[in-house]
Amino acid sequence: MNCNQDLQHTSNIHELTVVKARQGDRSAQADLYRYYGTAMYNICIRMTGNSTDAQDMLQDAFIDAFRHLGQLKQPGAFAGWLRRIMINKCIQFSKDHVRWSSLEQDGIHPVEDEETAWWLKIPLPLVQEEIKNLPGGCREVFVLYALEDFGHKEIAKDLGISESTSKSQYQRARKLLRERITKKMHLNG
Amino acid sequence: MDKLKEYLLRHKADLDVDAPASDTWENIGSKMPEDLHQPGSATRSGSLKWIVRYAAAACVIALIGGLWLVIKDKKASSDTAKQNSPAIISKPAPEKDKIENILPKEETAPGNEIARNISKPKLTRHKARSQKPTELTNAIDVIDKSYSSLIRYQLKKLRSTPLYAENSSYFSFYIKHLKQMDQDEQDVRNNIKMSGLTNEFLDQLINVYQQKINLLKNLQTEINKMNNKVMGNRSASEKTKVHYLDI
Repeated sequence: MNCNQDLQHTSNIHELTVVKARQGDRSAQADLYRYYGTAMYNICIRMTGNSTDAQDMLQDAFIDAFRHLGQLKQPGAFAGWLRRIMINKCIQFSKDHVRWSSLEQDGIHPVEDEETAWWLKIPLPLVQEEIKNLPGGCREVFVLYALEDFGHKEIAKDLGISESTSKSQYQRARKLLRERITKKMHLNG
Repeated sequence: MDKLKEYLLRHKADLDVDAPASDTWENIGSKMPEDLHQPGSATRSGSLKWIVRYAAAACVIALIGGLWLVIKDKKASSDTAKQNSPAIISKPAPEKDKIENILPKEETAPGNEIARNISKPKLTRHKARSQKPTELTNAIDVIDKSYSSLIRYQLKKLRSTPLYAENSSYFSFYIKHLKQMDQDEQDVRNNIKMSGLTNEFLDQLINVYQQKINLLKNLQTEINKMNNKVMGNRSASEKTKVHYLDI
């Protein structure tokens, strides 16, 4: 059974762990880190593209979460709440580090949905690797849109860009991802 | 929704192939202020708990001191009453008022009470005070008995339930939490030993018991659910390996 299924089965115990962590119990806090650390780290590393910043942000997010755990009224909502803290940190990081430009002037236009689902035969670890290698700007938009289920309107508001920039950055990321993965697949036979 | 997004959202968990550095938790721990990882010492509720404990201890000391003073006064005044009783009875009422007016009000009040209670040896007030700890002690006995038997029953039931789907170690998470709750119970009992039994401690003890029962109930439900699933999927001829919970 994987970690997600375990969490489903033990939701009540999990809530108890959150309550204990809220009371300052160190071992409960460590348990919460063990449950969510990896998933949160993967959000960070996809958003930042490098392990050093991802590591720093992961630590900051957990410290913030434990510090403000008293504000969480429903212990069962901890996972979503922590994820939101994590994403907010990543968004703040992007705002500080990315210089945005709309790509419409660069001649990049929205690609129509591909006829063939090229991604179906691609190993997911390779997809993860190439997402991390995407250039800053389009990487963050791609992660927020395709993996964190944000809409372009929400992305535009959070990142302080226009909706059209968000859309064009997403299309750019998609195009680059396809090109790079296809190239790698050819190289590896 | 575009198809790539749909596909990635469906397989998001499989994308999580990167792992944080092994010392991340140590770093988080060292960066966290001390008050965030000391249970009971620094969170607001924790410090409040200690204030309540000290206040309770101070109240008990003050109560014992007060009681001792009242008994001492009672003894002294009963001796005086015995010596002076014929004179007081023979004295007319206005003179009695004069004597009372000379004494400070704080002293006259308990003196009167003692004089009134000479005929009734037991103080009703003291009776009410001494009943409270007894009531609490009785409550803790009842709680201990009823909850303990309920927990024993649930544990017995769990130990005898066969595990078809997983072995005992799969449920180690529950067992770990149960042990943690045992520790919590012990902590509350130690607090009761140190500071005496209060309503607050009684509430804490009830909470621990209730959490234990909930945990065991959830564990039982979980095992039943998994067993039903396995038994439903396997044909009658198939042999199923059975484990029992080591709890």
